[in-house]
Amino acid sequence: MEGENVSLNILVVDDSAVMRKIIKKALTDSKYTAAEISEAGDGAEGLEVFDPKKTDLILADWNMPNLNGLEFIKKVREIKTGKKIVIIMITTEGSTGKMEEAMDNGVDNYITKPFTSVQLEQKIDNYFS
Amino acid sequence: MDNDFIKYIQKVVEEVFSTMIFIEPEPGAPIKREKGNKIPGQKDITGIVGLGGELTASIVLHLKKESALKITSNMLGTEYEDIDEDVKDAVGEVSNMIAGGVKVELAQSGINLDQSLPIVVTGSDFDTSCLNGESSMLVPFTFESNIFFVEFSFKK
Repeated sequence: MEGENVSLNILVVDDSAVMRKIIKKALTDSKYTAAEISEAGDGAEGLEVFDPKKTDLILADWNMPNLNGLEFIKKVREIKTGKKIVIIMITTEGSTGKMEEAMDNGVDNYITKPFTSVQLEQKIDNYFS
Repeated sequence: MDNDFIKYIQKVVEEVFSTMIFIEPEPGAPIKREKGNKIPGQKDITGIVGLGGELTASIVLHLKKESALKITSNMLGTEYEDIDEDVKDAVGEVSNMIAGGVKVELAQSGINLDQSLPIVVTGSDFDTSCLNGESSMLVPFTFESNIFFVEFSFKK
């Protein structure tokens, strides 16, 4: 599928509006340019925006106010969706222990900040290209 | 431990700036800031992140307006001419990434810490006080004609 645009429904959850813009720009500059992107500023808002029937991919930060990323992901995984939803954390929490904790709680893959747009695209490629 | 923090900050700043800001800042000689002494030069916007657990630390990013605008413009690919919500957010996120990187380095040395959400303060007529009540270290960086500081202090 190299070179073809891939259409996905992606939810971006990060308390930094700037980081959400960076992620969205990286996606629109990639083969995922046709993606339908929704966003949320924390885990609580993420649960409101999350659509169990439509969402294909969640890109979530960890440290956020109201409901943090890991707690948000645990709640998402409790919802019966009938489809595979890929969850990739994009976070400053880069220690081995934190990564293991994330993977043990429903996270499929992990990107530590700072990251490049190529790194982001390659992580998503593992599941969708 | 000061030397470890300095080394980690220099490494992490280089990584954050080259990866997401497309700037290669040059580190300068660290400066010890004694209690009561001000940050050299002007600062217009400051990002503060706390680390806590086996020790308590603060990581503080001090920027002049021009540096903050340049950083935000490079991160987002759009020119910024004044400190607005995007610029404050960008400074917070850069502070967050620097503190997060230092936290990962400390974890590899066996020191595990939690991290606060960043706080961003704008203006120049304020000062930060160091955690241990005595002194902090300023790690200066320059890029183009700009200088900025990452300040740290810690107590065990």
